[in-house]
Amino acid sequence: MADTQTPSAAQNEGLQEYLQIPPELLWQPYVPNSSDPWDAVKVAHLYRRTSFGASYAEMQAGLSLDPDTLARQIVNASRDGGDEAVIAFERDAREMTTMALDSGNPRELQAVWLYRMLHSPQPLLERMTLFWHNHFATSNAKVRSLRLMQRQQDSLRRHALGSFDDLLQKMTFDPAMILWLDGNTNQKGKPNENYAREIFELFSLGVGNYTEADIQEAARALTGWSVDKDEAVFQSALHDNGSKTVLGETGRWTAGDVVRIALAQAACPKFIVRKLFRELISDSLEPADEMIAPLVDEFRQRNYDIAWLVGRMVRSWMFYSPLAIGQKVKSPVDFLVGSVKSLEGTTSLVQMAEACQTLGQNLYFPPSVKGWDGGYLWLNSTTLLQRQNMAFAITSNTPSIAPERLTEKYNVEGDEATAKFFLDLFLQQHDADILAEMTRYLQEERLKLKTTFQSDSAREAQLARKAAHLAMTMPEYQLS
Amino acid sequence: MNFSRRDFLMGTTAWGCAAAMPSVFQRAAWAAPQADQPGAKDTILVVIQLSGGNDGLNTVIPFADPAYAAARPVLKQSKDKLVSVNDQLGLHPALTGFGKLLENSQLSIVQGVGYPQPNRSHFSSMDIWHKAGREKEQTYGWLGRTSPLVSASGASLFIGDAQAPLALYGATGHPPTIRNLDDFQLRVAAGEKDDARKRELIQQFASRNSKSTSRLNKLVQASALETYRASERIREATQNYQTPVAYPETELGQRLKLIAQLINGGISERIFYTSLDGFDTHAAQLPLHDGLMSTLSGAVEAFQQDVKHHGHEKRVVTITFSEFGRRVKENGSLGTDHGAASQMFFVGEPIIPGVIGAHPSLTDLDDGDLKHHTDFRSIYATVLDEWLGVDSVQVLGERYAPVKLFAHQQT
Repeated sequence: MADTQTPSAAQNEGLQEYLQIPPELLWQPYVPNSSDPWDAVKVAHLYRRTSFGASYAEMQAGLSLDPDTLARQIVNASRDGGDEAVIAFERDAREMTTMALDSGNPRELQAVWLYRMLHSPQPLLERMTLFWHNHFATSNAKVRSLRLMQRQQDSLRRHALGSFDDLLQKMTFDPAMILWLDGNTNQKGKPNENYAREIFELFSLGVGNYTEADIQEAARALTGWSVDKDEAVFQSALHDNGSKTVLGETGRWTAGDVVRIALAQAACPKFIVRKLFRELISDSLEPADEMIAPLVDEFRQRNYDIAWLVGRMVRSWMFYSPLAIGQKVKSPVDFLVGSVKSLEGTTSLVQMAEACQTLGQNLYFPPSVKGWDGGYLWLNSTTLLQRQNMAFAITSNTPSIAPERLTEKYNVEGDEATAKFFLDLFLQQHDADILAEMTRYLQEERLKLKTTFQSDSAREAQLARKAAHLAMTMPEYQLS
Repeated sequence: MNFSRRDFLMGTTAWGCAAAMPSVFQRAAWAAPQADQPGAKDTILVVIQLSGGNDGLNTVIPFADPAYAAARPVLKQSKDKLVSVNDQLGLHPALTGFGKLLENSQLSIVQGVGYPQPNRSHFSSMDIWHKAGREKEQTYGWLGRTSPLVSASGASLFIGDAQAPLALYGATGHPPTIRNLDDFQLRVAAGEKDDARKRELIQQFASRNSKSTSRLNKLVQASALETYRASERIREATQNYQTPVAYPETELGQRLKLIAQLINGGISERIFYTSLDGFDTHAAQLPLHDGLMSTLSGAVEAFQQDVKHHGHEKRVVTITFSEFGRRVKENGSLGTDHGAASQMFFVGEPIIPGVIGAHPSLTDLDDGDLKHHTDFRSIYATVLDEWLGVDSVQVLGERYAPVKLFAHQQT
């Protein structure tokens, strides 16, 4: 075996110095300075993690603000909402949702969600809704009701940046969840342990923080809930009213008590902070307890205030450090929505929803209650080839996405400038040899195209499309 | 959240090193003779993972034991419908293909397989099967550790549309995943046209020496390179395949067909892996399980016919496993909850056909679940030593008692 040495990720990358900084400092707000300036790399990073990427113009605008102001704007817009743009957007989105539900076609409902991700004035809210969809992973494959799936999503969106306390409550009594994890067959005398297990293992505490006996007892406390006419209903005759001991507390517990007891465990805030670390900071580094400790305590004290936690994370030195930048693999949604946003185009959202599934992220249909594994597992040979092939299709075959309109709009002229523009748009930084190679390729192609009979603008369009495609096939483009 | 798996995904380990290691060096590190060299071993292992915890008790059914009907008042399968095995056991009625394989001495039922202190979480138990143990430090899967020892590419192939399972991860990086052949080509120009320069550049992006020190970046680069190479090899290997065998139109059927195609094309990989999902039958189990049994049986039967038609029957063995069986006593939702020990199937000509090992007792239980008498690592060890020709200690870290599974072990 070749793996006798197992250097940590940090050692590998010379990141050790960051890991030696006291965690309290790492979580303090980042302040630009001459050696660590506010630049395009950082602006794009913030937009990728808190929105679904940004256009070239948005990135330029972001550069002119300071990071703290920009991050606050993004978080506040999604937490508070309420302004006219949001109200108008929500009205449209709700109308589209109703139509999609009437169609009964999951693709249409997925398309509406993608519409939200692309166009919502509250992109962080959409990101967090997706995050919680993955956390409380419920699949329509078993629920078999788009209406209930959508109601669950509405509920996730309502609490996505609120309190995790409310969120865990809502999910415990959510009709789609009850159907998904067999709450409707969990009855006195014949308990079904499905929800009891997952609320501890996957939703609040994590493996190792409960026993099999806790699950059996919690299952009894959860008895009596089922779904009738699309509503969660409680039938006391089916509820086991006896005494149960769950995580050391004994009483005639009901479902609400299971939630309360889970939230009171020290493991709970730690588990949620860890999961958000993976979402917002890095999916290639598993933080030590000490690293997240400053956030865990305060998250608990602030009654599980998610907006606070997210805001704190995305304004920190940690967030803008090499521990975070480029340390996640783009999900299919990140890849597709981000690409279309960068290219300032439009596309068939139903096709885009299909493409998400092809790449492994079928919205409303996570593969199991564990959600999508994500991280590096998004990429396998097939999905990597498909991402590259989709990059080709998006830049070459989609009439409503026109890279040449961008070079025109931003006054980019010449082969080197074109190559540089798309490298900046998609990657923000690149090695010099890449720019040289791409420029040479465009120059050669220009010569070839000159021998064919076509207009100057058609030729420029082809070259812009080739440049955009190439920049998107850089392995770095798979990272966030 | 499963921390062992996440540790593996995120942290530590030599992944970064292996990915960054020049392939020439990887080649030199291989210990065993390669499949593409004369005299090398060319046996093939196909693994079918039954995800979700197959109800072994309703798969191979001890109908003669009164405790069976007692534990399964609703879910029990009646004796007269079973596919006959012997006077004690019968196969689920939908396993007709398995019945034929059994008649033709191409199927064995390895009973009572499991491990001590069974874990009843899907994810943890699957991890244990994938890693062949519980050691937290172990970050590679058992087949990921095996692959570099048995195939020229150093990898195995996963056929499916999810991410490749932990079982296949190893020091040589990320195993290729193939959904279907058309998807497995890099497109750089519209229609029939090609743009050789662009293709070359894209491949160069993956093979160049990037200035970035990010381990994740190196990993993606290395995977991209391996993917482009695998894509070429597979295109070449599968060009001329034809078969008279009618595979079922199920996903599993089509995946096994693709595996047959790859084997027939002489690709150097020797381990193929695929999965059938949906075995987590907590509620309304009967129709679900019927469908799964029928899918499994039909696909494997067709595959075995195809393998034989193309003359590979002496070198291909297919095995099935699931992360656990299910509780002996059915639950109140016409389903079954997570259990422990269960059976594995072995399919192929080189195996010892029939029933191997006793059915676990239905009354002497471990917290309501069947007790194992055969550690799954003994099965792994036998597959490694006796079938793939790799020293099992090198892969599993210690010696496990072998089980008689292959015909040549009897002579």
